[in-house]
Amino acid sequence: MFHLHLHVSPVMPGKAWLIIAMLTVLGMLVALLCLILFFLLRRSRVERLRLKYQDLYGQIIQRAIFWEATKESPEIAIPFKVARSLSRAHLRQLMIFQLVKAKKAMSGTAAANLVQLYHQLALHEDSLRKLTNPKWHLQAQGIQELAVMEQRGSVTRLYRLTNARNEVVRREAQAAIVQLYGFDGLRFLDVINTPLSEWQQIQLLRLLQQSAGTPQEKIFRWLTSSNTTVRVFTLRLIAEQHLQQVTPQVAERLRDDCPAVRLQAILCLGELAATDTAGLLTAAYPGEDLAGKLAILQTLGRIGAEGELAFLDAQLSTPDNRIRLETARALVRTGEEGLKCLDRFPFIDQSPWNEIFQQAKTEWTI
Amino acid sequence: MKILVAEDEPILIRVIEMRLKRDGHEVQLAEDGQQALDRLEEGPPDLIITDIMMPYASGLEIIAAVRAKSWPKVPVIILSAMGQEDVVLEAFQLGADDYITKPFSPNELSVRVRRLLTAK
Amino acid sequence: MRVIWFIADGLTYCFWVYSIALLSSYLFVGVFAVLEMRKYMRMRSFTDYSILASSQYVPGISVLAPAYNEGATIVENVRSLLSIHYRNLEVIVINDGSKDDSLQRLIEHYQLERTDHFVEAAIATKKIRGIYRSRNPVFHKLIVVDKDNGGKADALNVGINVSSKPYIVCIDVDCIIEQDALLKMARPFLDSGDARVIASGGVVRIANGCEIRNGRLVKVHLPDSFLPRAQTLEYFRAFLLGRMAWSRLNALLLISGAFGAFDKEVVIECGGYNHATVGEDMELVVRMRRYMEERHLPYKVTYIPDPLCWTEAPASYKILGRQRNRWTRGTIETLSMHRKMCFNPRYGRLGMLSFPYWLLFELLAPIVEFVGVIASVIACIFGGLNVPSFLTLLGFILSFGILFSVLSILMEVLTFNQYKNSRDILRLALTALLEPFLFHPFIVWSAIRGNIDLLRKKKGWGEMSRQGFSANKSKVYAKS
Repeated sequence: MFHLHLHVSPVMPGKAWLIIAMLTVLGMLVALLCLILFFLLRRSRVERLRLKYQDLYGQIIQRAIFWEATKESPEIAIPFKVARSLSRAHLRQLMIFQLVKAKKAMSGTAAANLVQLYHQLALHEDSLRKLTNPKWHLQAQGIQELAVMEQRGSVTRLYRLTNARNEVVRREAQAAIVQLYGFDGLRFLDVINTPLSEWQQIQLLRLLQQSAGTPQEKIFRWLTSSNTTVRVFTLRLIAEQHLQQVTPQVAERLRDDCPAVRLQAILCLGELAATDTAGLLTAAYPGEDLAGKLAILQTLGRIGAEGELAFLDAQLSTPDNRIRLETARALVRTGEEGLKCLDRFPFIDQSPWNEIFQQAKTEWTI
Repeated sequence: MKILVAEDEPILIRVIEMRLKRDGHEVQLAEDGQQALDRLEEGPPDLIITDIMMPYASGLEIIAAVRAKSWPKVPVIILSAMGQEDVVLEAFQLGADDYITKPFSPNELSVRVRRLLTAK
Repeated sequence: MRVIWFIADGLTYCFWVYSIALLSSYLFVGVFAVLEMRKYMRMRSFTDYSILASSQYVPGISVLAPAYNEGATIVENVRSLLSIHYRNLEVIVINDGSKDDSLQRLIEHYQLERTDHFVEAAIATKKIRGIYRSRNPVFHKLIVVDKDNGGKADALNVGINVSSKPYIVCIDVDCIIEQDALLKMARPFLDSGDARVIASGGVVRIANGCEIRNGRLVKVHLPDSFLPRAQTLEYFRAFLLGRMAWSRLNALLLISGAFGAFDKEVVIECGGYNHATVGEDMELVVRMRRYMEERHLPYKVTYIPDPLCWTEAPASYKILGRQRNRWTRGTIETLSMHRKMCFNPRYGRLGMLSFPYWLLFELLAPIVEFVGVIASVIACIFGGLNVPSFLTLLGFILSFGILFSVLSILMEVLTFNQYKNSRDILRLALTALLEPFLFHPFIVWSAIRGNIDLLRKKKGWGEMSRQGFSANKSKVYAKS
């Protein structure tokens, strides 16, 4: 990146300008070096403090987990050293981080005690304060902290943020409501007109893992939502929760206009595994694209396809090797009858069927 | 009883240790999969509690390592954030005896430990 | 005489325009990188990636790890690949006709058994000798493919054919991959939007001097010897500044072959890796982008700046020189294969910005610099050089270059902060001061040699594959 001129000529800027430019750059260079030094010094200070207090806070958290309220001590005892350290903002944040982490892994009284500690140290005030911070990432962080710590008291403020202009804040607020109220928190699905990203769906499914008691009429409505991603999400939810009673409504989604919804409906039916599922799937098969076809074959393998051997047998002769392989797998997984079906296949000794069949068989034995 | 606990989250491992010690057990700690495997080389514990996702070796590998030994059966409890059916099934197929999903309650863990140890 | 002055003036003028454009590009990169990095770090500050680790709805990923004569470390490397945290994962190790005992070691250690496996040849490749899987269910994610030697691109293509998942992550088998690497890499594929994410690039960091145990990185240290240290700095500039800035514009042209994720369907549509070039990683990205542009499909190429992949950098001038020589040839080949895109408005930003940038400032820079040095030496001999002016200019440009390096160090301190020892950072700053004199000229010279070799159409072309690719470390491309 070094370029030079050969000869000073009128086309060149004057030397004075060059010197000024060079000095500017040098000045910036020195400034950056100072900044690096500044941050290094700050870093080592923060790191020292963190090391010093991390274990201490960890101990308090452990003690809180096993704490039992008695008449004499209605509150968790906080050593003076800890209480004093918490006058510093970043140490409070360190405590919040550790509490949130521990809370995520705990349930029952242990979890309740952690919430108690969070309150006792007035850390919820820190989290609430973040909600009004102009920086979106701090708002998002505050929302998460309040949700993990089950702060149902701040739900009105969280509700307001579900309409926030910033997309990330909005999303986190929606997730927080779900975390606090389970299925009731999914109310936003009724009105959402933007797509639910895969990430958000994963997040919501995770939060709903522990919840029970799905409102059926809502499920019906979401299954016919005009928002494709809501339909996909609902199908996933049905599968995760094993809501057998909505199987007919799920089956209707096999005729959905959107391939992604149909695909999810196939997988969902496999999860619910009703008696007529295999028949439904084979009926939907001809109208599916490749991904749908493969998913149907895979699902047939999962739920067993004793009744659909003729259908599978026919698929072995299709030209696409991917379909042949998936069909062979389904037959192998179906059991003895399926294996017989493979053995009867006229081209069993010919390539590529011999390889495909062998693969399907060995995969199953591993 | 000697219990080996493999878990990479520092707070959690201490919490489990505290709970088990309160029940009068001797507790061996391993903060990653490799440490757990090393501990196993020293001889059989009476019970193992392990996370699945850990640095160096997964909980599933630890089950496999225990089952490959010629010890009398050591019960294994899996303690993991993964609660999906297929993971749970895989763990049981490999020889796990119990499966607890996070978030978990230390008291429940203690009860399950007692049950497995008395059944032994 | 007058004519000579005239030519000299013209040349000087050209140099000036070029230099100003180059410096402005640096300014642009600096500013955009800082903005994009801030956005990324803010998002990351509250993202809990662990929810991906336990989800079944993450997209399936096949990790493709080609190996050639890696027997000494292969067992350990595969072990670290198998312990990556990801639910929907398949690890495919492709033994590219190694002459050592790589395959034997894998078979013994992972209790592999040769299995019948049908492979649809979506991309034409060299012959597959066998496919192995483990009898032990703990290793059920592992697939080992043994094939005839055909070079890295061919090995990757075999991996693509064998893979059963919709996404592939290509890595160098001797890289150390962090356990949460795939969770972070998968994230962009999960964000909704009209644009399809066709590829996502990762960072490569330098592992020389770091503490490594059981195939895992335990502690990060700065390398002790100068050459890897200078490369550490170079990688900072490339990954924390260069890539970051270009990804903000969705105009990345290169994803390192040592660690990148791709949408397999698009890769296959495009015909997979091209083994006619030594720059197969860059060529694939350019071809995939071109494919999407020509079909007017909305798409994105994203970039994840977290340090997720660590690799050993060449520690000798000889090997480093060879590597840079090859990178240069790879770039020239890629750009010339796709020269149609250059300044072609049909390709949008790609044609009007990225491509010309690569041509003018990545490819041409060493040549311009080299010519400049020769010219000033000549001018000096014939007395045509205004020494004070020349020195001021040189000083200006040098300090500008150092400024850029120092900015990248600052970015590292403020973001991923891998070097916990403050002395390491100060030593790196010192390296930034020395590098333009000790390291940079060698890099320029290697690039020039690459140009020369390509012009001569070196006979050694085909030998690439027979040599294997153990030295064919994936390209990082630092702005230098």
